[in-house]
Amino acid sequence: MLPLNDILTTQLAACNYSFTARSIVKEFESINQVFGGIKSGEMTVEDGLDILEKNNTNRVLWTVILNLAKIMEIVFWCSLSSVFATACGASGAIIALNPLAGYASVIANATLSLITMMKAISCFNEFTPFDADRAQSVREKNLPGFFQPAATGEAVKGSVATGEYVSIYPPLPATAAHPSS
Amino acid sequence: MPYASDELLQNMKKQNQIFDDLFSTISDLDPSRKAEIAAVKRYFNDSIGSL
Repeated sequence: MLPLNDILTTQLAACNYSFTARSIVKEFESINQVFGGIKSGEMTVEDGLDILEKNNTNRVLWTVILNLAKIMEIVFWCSLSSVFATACGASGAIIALNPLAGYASVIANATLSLITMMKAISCFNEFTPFDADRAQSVREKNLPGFFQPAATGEAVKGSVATGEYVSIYPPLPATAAHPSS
Repeated sequence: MPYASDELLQNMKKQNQIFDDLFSTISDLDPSRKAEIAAVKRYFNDSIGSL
């Protein structure tokens, strides 16, 4: 007999791995294209940051979906546990008719209820945190800054002349003469 | 990586190489910025490795 369950589990894991790995590689490819485009001047930093922001939003959405699935799993295990707990209480009535079968049923249902409750509790440790995605987003957004040309003295002079340069200091009063002059 | 196809592995290696090439030309980097760049690459490699 073929180990059908094993084959299915392996195939499902392979599909899931392939899908997730492919999306990770595509995301890596996307940020490389953004950085390459900014470096070569084919893309503006603003456009690049927009793409990085979209990637990050997708990443956060995926984490939200994974966490929602985990919540549904917890609800499932809790419901199953309550069903077994109810069955455990109800099977107490069987004890009066057949003590052996009654006790066996109570023990089996109580065990199943405990196991499913433990499954539910263990799910609480399996939530995907957002910290890594957030830190990665901040790091990625810092990277285009490496490809921006540093402002030269001439560029700053030009921006002062056109009025683009704004000093952080208030303008000096025009009447004040330098003491040494 | 038990189920990684050759194509995916090759593409991942290629992306790592492109990323390294992009940032290898930037010479005046202090160690903290280099660590930041390395962390961006590590995120993707760790994500693949954790599957």
